[in-house]
This record gives sequence, C-alpha cells and structure tokens, in this order.
Amino acid sequence: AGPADGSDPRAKWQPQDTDIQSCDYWRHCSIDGNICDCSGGSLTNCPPGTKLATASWVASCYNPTDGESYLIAYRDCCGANMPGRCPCLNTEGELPVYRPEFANDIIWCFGAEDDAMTYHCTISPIVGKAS
Amino acid sequence: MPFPTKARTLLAAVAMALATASGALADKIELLDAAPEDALVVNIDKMKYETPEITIKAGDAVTWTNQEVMPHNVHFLAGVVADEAVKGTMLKKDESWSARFNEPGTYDYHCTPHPFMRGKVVVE
Repeated sequence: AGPADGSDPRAKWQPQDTDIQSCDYWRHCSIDGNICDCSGGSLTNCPPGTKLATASWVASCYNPTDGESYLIAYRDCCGANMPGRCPCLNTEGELPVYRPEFANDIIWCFGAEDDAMTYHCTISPIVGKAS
Repeated sequence: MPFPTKARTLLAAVAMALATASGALADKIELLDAAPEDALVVNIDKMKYETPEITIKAGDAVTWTNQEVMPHNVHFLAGVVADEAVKGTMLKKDESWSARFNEPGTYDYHCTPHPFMRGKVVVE
C-alpha cells in the first residue's frame, strides 16, 4: 500500500523493487512526470525520437532489496509531447526551486540535442551510492 | 491518482533562454580529450568549484574534476569563449573535463543545472 496504488496519496513512501512501471518502484522516489519505460524507452534510456537531456535533478532513493541508498539523477527525455502513460509524482527529499538540484517541478531538458525543451518522460539512472 | 503535470518555472524559462548548442569554437578555448599532466585542477565538491577563481597564462590548460556523486559540469555562456555557448559534459564522481585557454581574458562559467555554482578563469 502507498501513494503509488492510489489508496492513500498521503501515505508514507513504500518502495518496491519488482515493477519499474509502477510509481512506487524504488528508483522513482522523486520522479515527476512519466516513466519512459511505458512509452518505448527503458528505465535508463529515452524512447526513440526523443532527446536525452544532460542536466538533471537528483534524489537519494532507498533500495529495499539491498538496504542501500543510491543517488538517482533523473534525466528528462525531450522533444515530444507527454505520452500520458505511467504518470507519477513522488517527492522524497524534494526541495523548492531555490534548491534546484533537488527540485523536480523544473523541466530538466537543458543540454538536450537540438535544444529540445518539450517534456516527454523521465529516466531514473543511478549515478552513485548516496552517503 | 491525479494526473501530474510538470510545472514550468521561472528558472526553467530563464535557463531555456540561456541554453544554446555548443558549436564551432573560437580560438579562445580548445577542448581536450584527456587531462594534460600540467593542467591546473579545479575540484568540484559540496556544490561548488573549490577554486572559484584561477589565474593562468595563455596556453595553459585547466581540468575540472568532480569529487562528489552529484553530477556537475562547466558551462560558458554564448559570447564568453565562443560565439555560441560551450557546455561541458556532465561529470559523474571522479570524472574530468579539460580545456586549454589560448587568449588573455576573463572567462566566467557556471554549472548548467546549478546556476548558483559559478567560477572564473583569468587568462593573463
């Protein structure tokens, strides 16, 4: 139970490590938008035809399988309209825009090829172990 | 659950206006594939450039090395070192990015996703 299944949107975050297309997948602890795996991409790759941004916001997400926390650098795939599949909004450790490194309301398309700034979806790659 | 939408913020709008693709470089700067042994090193850690202002001589190289897990880069706005913006690759922990500066001048830079992180290279 938890926010992902809609039972109680205010319930404490309960991460799982089995379904990457579900909002409560542990790496999505601070995702805002759509999961790319649901629209032709994968957990760490953009869908064909979209442009991967270089900049990102980050969050420290807890992996329930190994009990460790990892820094996830959420990167937006840009240049196409929102797919409408697997929408998620999680805010573990999120901070306001004056702390942009942890702010997920921003469209993080900076650095995408062709200056694409239209948000499509978000990937959740690990960039390192969180301390 | 309610359908979330990405809120477009003022920060995003400003950054979008600043974002330009890096193109052909002028002679002021030369991007290097590897860090020269004699390059001056600017470490990046704890959300800042540890040496925010460095002074070098024309022809010297600078290497930026990220010491933390948070990704960072080096971004020169359009008109600083070239007509178009020069955006260094995002550096993960222990990764580096190097450039050689060939002309005297003062070159301000920042980190693309963290505009409050600023630095300066003074070339004599």
